[in-house]
Amino acid sequence: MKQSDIERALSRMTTPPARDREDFWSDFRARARLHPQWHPVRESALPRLAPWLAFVCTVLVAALVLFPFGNGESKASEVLSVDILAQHSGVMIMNEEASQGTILWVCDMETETGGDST
Amino acid sequence: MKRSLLTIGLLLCVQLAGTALAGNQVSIRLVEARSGRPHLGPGLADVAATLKSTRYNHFTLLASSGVALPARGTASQLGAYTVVCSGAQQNLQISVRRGRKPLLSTTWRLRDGKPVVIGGFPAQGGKHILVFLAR
Repeated sequence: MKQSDIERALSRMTTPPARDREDFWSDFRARARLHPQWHPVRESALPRLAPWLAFVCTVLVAALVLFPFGNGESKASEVLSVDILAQHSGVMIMNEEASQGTILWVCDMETETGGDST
Repeated sequence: MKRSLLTIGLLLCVQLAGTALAGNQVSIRLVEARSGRPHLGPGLADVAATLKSTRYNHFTLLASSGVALPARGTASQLGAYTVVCSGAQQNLQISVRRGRKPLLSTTWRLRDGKPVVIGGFPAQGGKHILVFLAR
């Protein structure tokens, strides 16, 4: 662009008319009212619920620790060790399905009084 | 509000812990088992299925006792048998003697409502059985 073109363009531009101070601010306020300048911050429900969540979590953790699920309560009782101190011919350990009972049976145990075998 | 919630939570935890640690009881029953006409004496209905798994079918309750868990070497006298229990339900040591003669010593992990039958003790015309049931 030439210098003359720039000068010509500048000469075409007009300076905005001077405005009255009151007029400017009243216009500004009117425009500002068209767009709310302050939006209420939407409060998150989390802070309000935090104590309740902590409370529920505490109770759940306590319940799980004290009453763990699936810890084998459905299983039968278990024999951990057996030591037969009287004379005997054998030991049988049986599990009964219906009531999940466990049987420890000592065969031919000798005590002071006799009995039938097995 | 936070303080009251914390208090309620603590109270609940204490109650849960109290319930959990309250301790069970193990019942001990001495049963006479014989062959013959099928019979289940009173006081044995809850362990009938387990008893019937033995080769006997006539059961009579002779004596019963109870021990609080965890057991602290508590001796229970059931007829001629002395049963000594010690330890927690998860690791319960059971010693059985007849008179002064020790018969057996065994350790069990007892589960609630799951009966344990220890048998084969000679008896007139049958066997003596000890039934343990934790609740």
